[in-house]
Amino acid sequence: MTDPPGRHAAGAPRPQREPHNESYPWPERPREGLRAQPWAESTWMDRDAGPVVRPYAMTGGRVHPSSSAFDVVAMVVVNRAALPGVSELGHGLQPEHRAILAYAREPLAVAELASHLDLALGVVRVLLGDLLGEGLIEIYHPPAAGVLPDESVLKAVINGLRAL
Amino acid sequence: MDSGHSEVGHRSVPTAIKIVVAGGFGAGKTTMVAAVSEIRPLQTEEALTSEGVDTDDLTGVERKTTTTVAMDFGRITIGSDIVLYLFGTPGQDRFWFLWDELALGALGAVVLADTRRLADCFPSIDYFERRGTPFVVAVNCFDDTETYSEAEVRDALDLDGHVPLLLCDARDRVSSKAVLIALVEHVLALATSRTRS
Repeated sequence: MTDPPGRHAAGAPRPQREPHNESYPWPERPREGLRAQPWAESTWMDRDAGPVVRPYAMTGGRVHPSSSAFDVVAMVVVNRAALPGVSELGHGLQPEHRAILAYAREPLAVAELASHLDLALGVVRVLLGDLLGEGLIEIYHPPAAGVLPDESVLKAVINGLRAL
Repeated sequence: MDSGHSEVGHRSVPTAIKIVVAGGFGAGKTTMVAAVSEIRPLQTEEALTSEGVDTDDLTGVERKTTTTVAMDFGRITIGSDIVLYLFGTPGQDRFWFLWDELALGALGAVVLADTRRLADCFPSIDYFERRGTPFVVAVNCFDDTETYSEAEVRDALDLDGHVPLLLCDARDRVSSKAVLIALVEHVLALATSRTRS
């Protein structure tokens, strides 16, 4: 008898944490010590502690970005033309916003940003929505769903993979 | 002030192509991503909030729980203008909606199969068949497994004739690369047949 798919991965829900006052300055998110090997397939199940801060605390509880969804591979890049105005926006930007601007000096996928910032994808999307609203970043969406890339692109990928 | 626009306009932003690596738990998804990725695989998380049915009712808020689901991904840069991103799917059926997010706009998928637990990859195959996402099946040949012929596995999986099936070693870069090439060639064949019809 084979096991039903996913049975081994039936992760119990994380222990419920005490609700805390989200207006209180949040402590540092846990970094190295609590972060398990990123490539071990099962590690997420062992992180019983969970994040110290509720993931959406830094978005003020907002769970939906202000503009359309950002694909995990949408490319984000700073709008350098708008950057000189950043200081004028002043306190409107949180440290996480500034961190995104710092990482996205070169084009970077949304998933990479989230990984570097150690923030949940949904959180990063809300923050990106803020930055897009301020005109501080540009987003390049991947080809629309259902639209296959040009044959020339596919051939380039095949040749590129062969050459690796 | 609009003096800086040219710099933005001239920047080249690569085309991102997403490939999903699916399969049962322990089938070697992360191993394959790691084998071909040019960076150490990164992990991104989605925080799932189990919102109550009556979301506007504040009495439910304190019972909200948050679960995080991790997705591993890797990157392969092809020249200066194409970047492949490989995403391993979260290995649990209850995260189907994350699969939707990953599969949306994906070029295609690799379904990794483990012959010791072949049934584990059925949901993945069903999923991509239903969605119409092009996919290949890669049988990850673990050291201690009995070897089966491609025909035997294909038969057991009840796979459509046009879906490529390969034997691979997910730990091996060349072997995993061959799987990706087979996938893109499969997509190319589909694209070609579509434009001809």
